[in-house]
Amino acid sequence: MAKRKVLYVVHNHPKTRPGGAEAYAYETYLAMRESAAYEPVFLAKGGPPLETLGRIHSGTFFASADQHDPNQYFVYTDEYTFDWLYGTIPFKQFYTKHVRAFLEALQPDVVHFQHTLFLGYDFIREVRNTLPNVPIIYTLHEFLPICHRQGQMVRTIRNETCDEESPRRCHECFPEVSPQTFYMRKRFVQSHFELVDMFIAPSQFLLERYVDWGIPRERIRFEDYGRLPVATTSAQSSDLARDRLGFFGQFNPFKGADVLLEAMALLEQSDQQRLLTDGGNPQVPGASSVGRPRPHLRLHGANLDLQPGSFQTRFHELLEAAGGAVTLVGQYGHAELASLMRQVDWVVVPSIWWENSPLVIQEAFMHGKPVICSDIGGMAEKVRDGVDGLHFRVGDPADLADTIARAVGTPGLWETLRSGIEEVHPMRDHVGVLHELYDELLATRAHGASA
Amino acid sequence: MTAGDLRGAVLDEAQVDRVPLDTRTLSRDDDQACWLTSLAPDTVLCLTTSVMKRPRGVLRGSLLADGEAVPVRAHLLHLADEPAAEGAALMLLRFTKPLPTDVEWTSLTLGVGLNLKVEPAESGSKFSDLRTFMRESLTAREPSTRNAILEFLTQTCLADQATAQIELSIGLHAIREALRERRSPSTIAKDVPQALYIETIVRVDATGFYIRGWARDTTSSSTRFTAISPEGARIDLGDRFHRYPRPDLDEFYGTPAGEDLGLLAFFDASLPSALANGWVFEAVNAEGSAIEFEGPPVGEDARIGRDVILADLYHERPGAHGFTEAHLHPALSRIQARYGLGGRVDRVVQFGTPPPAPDISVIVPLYGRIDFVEQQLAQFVHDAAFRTIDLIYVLDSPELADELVEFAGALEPLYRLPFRVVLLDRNSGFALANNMGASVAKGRLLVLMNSDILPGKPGWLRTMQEYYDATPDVGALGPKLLYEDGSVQHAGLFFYYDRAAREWNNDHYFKGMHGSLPAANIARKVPAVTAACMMIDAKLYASAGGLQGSYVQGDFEDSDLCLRLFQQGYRSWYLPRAELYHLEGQSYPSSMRKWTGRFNRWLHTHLWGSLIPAVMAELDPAAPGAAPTTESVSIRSSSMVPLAKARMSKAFQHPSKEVD
Repeated sequence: MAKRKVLYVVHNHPKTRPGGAEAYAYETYLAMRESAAYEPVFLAKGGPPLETLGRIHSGTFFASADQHDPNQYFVYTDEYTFDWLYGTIPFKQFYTKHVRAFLEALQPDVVHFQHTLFLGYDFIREVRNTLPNVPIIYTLHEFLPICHRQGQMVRTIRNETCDEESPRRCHECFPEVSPQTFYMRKRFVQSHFELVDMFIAPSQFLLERYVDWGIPRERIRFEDYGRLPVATTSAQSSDLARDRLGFFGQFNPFKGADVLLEAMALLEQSDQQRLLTDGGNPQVPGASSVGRPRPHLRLHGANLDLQPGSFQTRFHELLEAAGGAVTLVGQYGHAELASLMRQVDWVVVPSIWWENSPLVIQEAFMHGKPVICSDIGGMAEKVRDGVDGLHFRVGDPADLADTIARAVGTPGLWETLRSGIEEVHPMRDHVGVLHELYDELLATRAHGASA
Repeated sequence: MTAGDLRGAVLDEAQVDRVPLDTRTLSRDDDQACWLTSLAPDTVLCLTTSVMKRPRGVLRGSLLADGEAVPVRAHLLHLADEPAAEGAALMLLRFTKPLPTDVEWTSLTLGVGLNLKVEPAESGSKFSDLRTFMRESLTAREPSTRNAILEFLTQTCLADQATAQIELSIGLHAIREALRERRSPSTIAKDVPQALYIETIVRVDATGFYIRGWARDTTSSSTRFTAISPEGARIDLGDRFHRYPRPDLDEFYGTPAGEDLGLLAFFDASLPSALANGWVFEAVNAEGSAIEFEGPPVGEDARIGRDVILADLYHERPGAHGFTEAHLHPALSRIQARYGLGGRVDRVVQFGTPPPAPDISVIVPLYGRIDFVEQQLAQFVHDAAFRTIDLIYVLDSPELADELVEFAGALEPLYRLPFRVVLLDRNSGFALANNMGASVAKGRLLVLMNSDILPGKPGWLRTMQEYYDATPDVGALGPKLLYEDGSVQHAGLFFYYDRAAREWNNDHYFKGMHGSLPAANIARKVPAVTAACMMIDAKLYASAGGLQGSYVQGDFEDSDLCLRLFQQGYRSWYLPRAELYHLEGQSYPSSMRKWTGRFNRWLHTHLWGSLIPAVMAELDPAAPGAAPTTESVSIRSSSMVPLAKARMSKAFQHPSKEVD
């Protein structure tokens, strides 16, 4: 029997823009190629602003992305404006002409959306129009359908986490957009979501949020991201000081690098004060024989230059205040991750937004690193406080400083937490789950069609 | 240049010169000449000497020109200052159709036995154009004769006209300028006691005008005001202005005049006027001191004019109605009629395949914003009913026609829902847009729906239809409307008497309460329902006359319709089981709201004030002892909160047909 085609629709190709959801989607595509039943096709948005080179062939909106792989495509939408509020391309012929032609040519049996940013929710409707009987699956990576603030559910007012959307509350965050408009936005997105057979939520936390928002519980399932195996470091001597911290992620306000830097600055400051008051006397309870442990942070990330000026200024001030306790490593590639992970003992995830199922947590665990994270949302769900990591109060640098001090200053804690780390959801299992889901939805649709 | 262009243009001397005025020599066999000159393609002015001595009044006849007989009416004015023996007369010839300028006249027969032979004008004739003709024959005459000539010409040229022709008006204006008796110009200076200033003239319709200005006269207690149209018609304005305070002028003059200086007036000139420029206003006081003021150009745009007039409600004290009754209402009702007049369906564009025999037509007027179409389609598409009904968008913003047709054409392949777009040739207002939608509707039931309505869940349309069909006395059926936060926007409409304004006003039951409030979820008869979403039998809608265009911009037309239906024995019903969202207040600029609301409320009271108490007595038992027949009766609080509370408790006692 011929393999069934499953089309993955992604907002970016990881080769043009490194990002968590993109990387996951691509890994899933690669893993699904091994399937005996499904033949995956990877469709990602190409072109500016994230890729310098736009469309090469005039009049070609869907274009083969890799001459060695017949199943990878770029879709070029740069000619069309994208409405960020409604998540749609106002030029509807993009859907009814170009998307339709692509789908008709490809004839996928299953369409699995990984994102519709830059592509528009209408893409879903066109799939349903062109292919009335294919199952449509949609994986939710953050809260973009719910929240206009880049899907973070963090309020514009003092960057507070947001528990609940409503037209009034959204209008409070964006006074220039009326509550009525926010209501229409929600109804618009939900109209297109109506056509999705099954949503996938990589965290229970996110699942509940979407159920609250209006996705029927029977149409959303929890399934964490699957990960391909990595080469982990093996023997590490146990008497090392576990005082090396790592941050991996974007330098933007939501990811909380500034909270972490401020915590490091506080630690540095208290260390200096201690030197002034007790002369650096090593006979302080809890201090190790080689001197009180001094945590060191390695910051891996990029895009600081894209942030608001005030954030950049504060970032640099805090970096200065933290002195020698912080090394700014900068941008890294996915391939370097293993070696970078080797250089740290703890991974800190200080996001001030809820997160979903942060890939960095999975990666930390895959490399045997306990995680120190904010005590909310997907982070609190994926990292068990005192089992495989430590929680601190979200957005609270003092609490993070205390937690770091406890982490590096408590002998044996690192080893305990490390031994608590469980196996990260393997990609082969994940692909198996998707497999079953596709089978199930195909059967349901076939049954529905024959009934 | 077309007539339309000229209308708003500034008329100056140079333009008068460019008007083609054709002068020919007309002679009798006995060589007693008279002269004629063309005022308009169908109008010729003639000055005769003695030939017209005996005939008076109107003569009928015909002109033989190019072998064809053209019927003509000749109006005669004997010039009183000529010796009777001379018998000089002005004769205005009005043909039944425009004459080409190059037509060859052969002979003109008027009355019985009066035959005139026509000869081509000689070159070098001393009557070479109208202005010369005027100057040499008429200008030097006595003021009373000149006034009589002007009156004769304006009456005979304009009295039988619905609107004035531009060519004729330009000719008449030139004549007026030649003959008019001038007063001293109004001077605005601290030491000049008599002043007149008109700052705004708004065209209401062909003969109606609205002015705003001020007048001051510290030397006399009584002044008569006269408006002189560009064509020369004199309109006695008397002193029936609405006067209002102008503290800025009191400050300028240093001493209060002892009266309100501001003046507002609507007046009907009885004769049509076409020109934007040339209005003159005269003030003559009891002592005979006279001044004049040349008015500003006429504001021709009905829409802008309407708003200008409405905004003058600012000058009427709350609770007073004098200005509204004497000026605002006549002006607005006529400008609204003009606004609506001539509006017609330009084009109906079908998108998708129309359903075979739709039983319901949903009519959605679009004004200013067309993006709501996509929002509604994205919801309607999930309701099976919309595949079988007649969905009609009526565009009341003609400037967006191309954009809407393109947008609709792009949306249909995506949403695959059939609908029609009705394009109007001009902006017509909410009421008439609905009526024009209804005029092309195919369904036996209509749903009038605002563009900012989104249904809650699919199925509401069939729910309403079934309820409508099962309710014998139903006229208009209104669903529950919610705000975007789920609170009640509409659960039926009631009337309350606003004692400060001395007018009836509309409000919605339970506005702002939680949508699940039990009292707001009882299907029942109500005094009225909103047209934001209203189901009504198509024949009933037509026989009742649809929504009335006399209200300004989507307000009170709904209750007006419901009250008309009440008179015919039909009742308005509220059906909470059908639930929709009304994302109100996004589509209309609110700066004028205050004034449109106040005018509409007055008009609604003016029309229905006597019926409303009976409606409330029957349909709103919460209204204590029905309502007022006189102002002295204390009716109900105009405060909303106690009202809502009253509704909450009373609604439970109301005999209900159904509890949802």
